[in-house]
Amino acid sequence: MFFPSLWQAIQDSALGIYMAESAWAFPTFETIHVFAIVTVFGTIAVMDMRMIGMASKGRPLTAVSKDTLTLTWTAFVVAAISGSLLFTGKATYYMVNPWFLGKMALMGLAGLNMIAFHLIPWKNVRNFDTTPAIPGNVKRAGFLSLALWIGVICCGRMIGFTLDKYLPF
Amino acid sequence: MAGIGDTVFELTEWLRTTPMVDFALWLSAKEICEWVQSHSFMVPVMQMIHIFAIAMGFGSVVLFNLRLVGRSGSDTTVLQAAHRYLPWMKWSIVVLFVSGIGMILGDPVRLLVNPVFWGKIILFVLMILVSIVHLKTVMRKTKAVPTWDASTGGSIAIRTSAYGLIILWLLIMAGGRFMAYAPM
Repeated sequence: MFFPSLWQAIQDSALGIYMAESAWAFPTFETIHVFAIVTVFGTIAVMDMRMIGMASKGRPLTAVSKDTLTLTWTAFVVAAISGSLLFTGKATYYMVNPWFLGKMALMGLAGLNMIAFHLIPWKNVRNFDTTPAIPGNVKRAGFLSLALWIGVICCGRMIGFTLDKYLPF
Repeated sequence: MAGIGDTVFELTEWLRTTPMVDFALWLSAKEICEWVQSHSFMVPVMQMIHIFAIAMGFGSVVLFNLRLVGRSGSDTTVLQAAHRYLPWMKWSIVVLFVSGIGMILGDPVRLLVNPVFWGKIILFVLMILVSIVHLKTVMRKTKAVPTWDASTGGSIAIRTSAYGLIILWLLIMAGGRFMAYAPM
């Protein structure tokens, strides 16, 4: 585990203790986390499927992006905040859980994929915004995004089944 | 909060006096339940499928209903949005139902003798009924006037059910998460 004293300090903080001991805090923020992740995935999937050419084919890519972007980002911020709160209660356990670490790694890759997509093909979006033919790198970015987010959610679900299987000490 | 906990506890006590207990025990002795329970990957996999179905269904419900009230997708007509999102809503409900059955087989007693589970099921049925009425009304209006949309059509009932359906989906999800914490 990297920085064990940091995670221990988070877990021992007033917030960490509250999250671990309150009967309502964990289920409540977990519910908010579920609201947020299904919104993130549900809206990202709409955009990715347009990029792959699976759905919304008749609409400009920029129009689908406009529909989904605010929802995706708002939900992502809510997921990050609620997820961080869930983390505080058992920080040291999460930091040795391979599913949690895998989930963080996959989210990092999803972020890099998104940055690369916006830096490279998106600059020329005018050229393929409304055309039926979609460039290969746009299709690949959409497919990769779907695959990575599916991985994030699967890892996330596995954390709940394995949190007490990997002990920090 | 404590009041809600007490009510759930009392409802659980009541459920324990109903034939649901015998049914859950009978079901849990069935071969198919034993098969699901003896394969430890089954329940997590069912839950993952369930979450993806919620994401696709909820994403479609949100984007379609926001289009209906004029807060999204202004480049499309309501009818085009319906063609894009309705099949995803329908199929997600089918997948939710099937994966939900799979999860019940994984733990019949804990789920069937659980008032939060039944609350969720009641809301799920209500959501389907409201969706049917809502979508039939919307389709009838768009077929009569192809450019119709609820933001300019002035129908308070349709706008209310558009937002109401989004809230119903959220409540069903909350029920799904909270039923894991209900007393046994």
